[in-house]
Amino acid sequence: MTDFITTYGGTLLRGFLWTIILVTGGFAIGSVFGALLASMLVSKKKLVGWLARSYVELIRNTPFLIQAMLLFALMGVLRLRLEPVLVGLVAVAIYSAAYMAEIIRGGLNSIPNGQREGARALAIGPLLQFRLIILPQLLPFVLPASVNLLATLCKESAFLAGVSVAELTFSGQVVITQTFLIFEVWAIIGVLYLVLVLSIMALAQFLERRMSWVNPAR
Amino acid sequence: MKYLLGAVDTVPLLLDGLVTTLLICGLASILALVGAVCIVAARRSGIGVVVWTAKVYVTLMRGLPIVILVFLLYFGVPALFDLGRVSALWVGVLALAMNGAAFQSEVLRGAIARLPNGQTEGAYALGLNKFQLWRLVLTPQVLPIALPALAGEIGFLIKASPVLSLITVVDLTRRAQQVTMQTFDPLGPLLAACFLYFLLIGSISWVSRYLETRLTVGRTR
Repeated sequence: MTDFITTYGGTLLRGFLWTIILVTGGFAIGSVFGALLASMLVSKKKLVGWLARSYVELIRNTPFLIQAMLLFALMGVLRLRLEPVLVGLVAVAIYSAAYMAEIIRGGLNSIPNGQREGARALAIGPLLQFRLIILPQLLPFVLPASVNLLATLCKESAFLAGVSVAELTFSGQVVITQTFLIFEVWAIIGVLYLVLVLSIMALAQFLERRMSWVNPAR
Repeated sequence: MKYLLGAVDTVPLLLDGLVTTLLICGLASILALVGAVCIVAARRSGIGVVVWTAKVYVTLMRGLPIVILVFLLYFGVPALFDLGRVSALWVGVLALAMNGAAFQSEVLRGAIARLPNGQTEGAYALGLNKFQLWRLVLTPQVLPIALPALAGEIGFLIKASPVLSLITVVDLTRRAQQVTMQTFDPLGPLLAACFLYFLLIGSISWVSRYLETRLTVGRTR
């Protein structure tokens, strides 16, 4: 066992770190685009709203593996030679942007319009209105949900092994071809994913409890 | 034009994959629902060990990626017990069902928790036994609450089903890859598969949303 850990522990640990980098990086980029998409979703311009809606529906209603495969194929067609890990990160970002947009849109919709009208009546400008009135009510809604999304992303990222991105699941395949310890390696990897996902879920639950003081008027 | 004609030739192959995917997901959904009912029953049984086991199972399934579950069941378990080759299709269906059961049980539990306690108390006061309580009073009320979310869970199950293509099951995803190999067209087959998945999952989320608006009429709280 100690032999196994000293020889292959590094490979697995590197895979684990890459999974974390992929997921958090993709989540960060996806959050920025998700916020942008959410503002498009609630915009009054029909075309803008329609564009954002079709992106969100397209991503939310197709499997992640197919999206990743398409992205890799597209990179091939465009003759872009990028690191697979980088393409995987983009895939996670594309995926999470759609889900993030829906989370933020839900939060924005839960804030009654009277708040915005009241702010306008008090002559509070749009920037200050967002910072003082919208954001404090949005965060308690968005934070727990987006941390839950992060947990989902960790699980979905395992699909990236199917397109040879060197993350945790892929590193397991590599170690198995060298050791033939099939069950043991998948069990170790399973435990690593469990620890990661369950601790993120616990964080989401903590945030939810912590922020339940805000009951957005619905 | 030639491209289009070539593409039409590959349609039956893709449709064959779609049928396999439908079969897998249909079977897995039914098994998952049965499993979910068992899990809910176990969690309400009041027997410490059983309740605890069900809770641990649900937590495990919620924390473990479906890919790892499938690899454990298809590669790991047969290697551990020296079972030789097992059927990838059935292992895949089992894994999807195991995963789906945990998530569907949470939906059912949430729906049951939303029923007021007075329903149970009233039923007992009228002299109904436990079976009658569930058949006549609780289930007819739980189903409309749970159905939209259950449909949503089936959507998630279909979205997870390409995992079977990783263990050699020839589903829609794998078919698309095969067609890519044959035609040297990197994008077309994948886009077609993506479109078919979109139709499938999109129609289920549409049904889920329809059920939600339809079934919540007159039940505003």
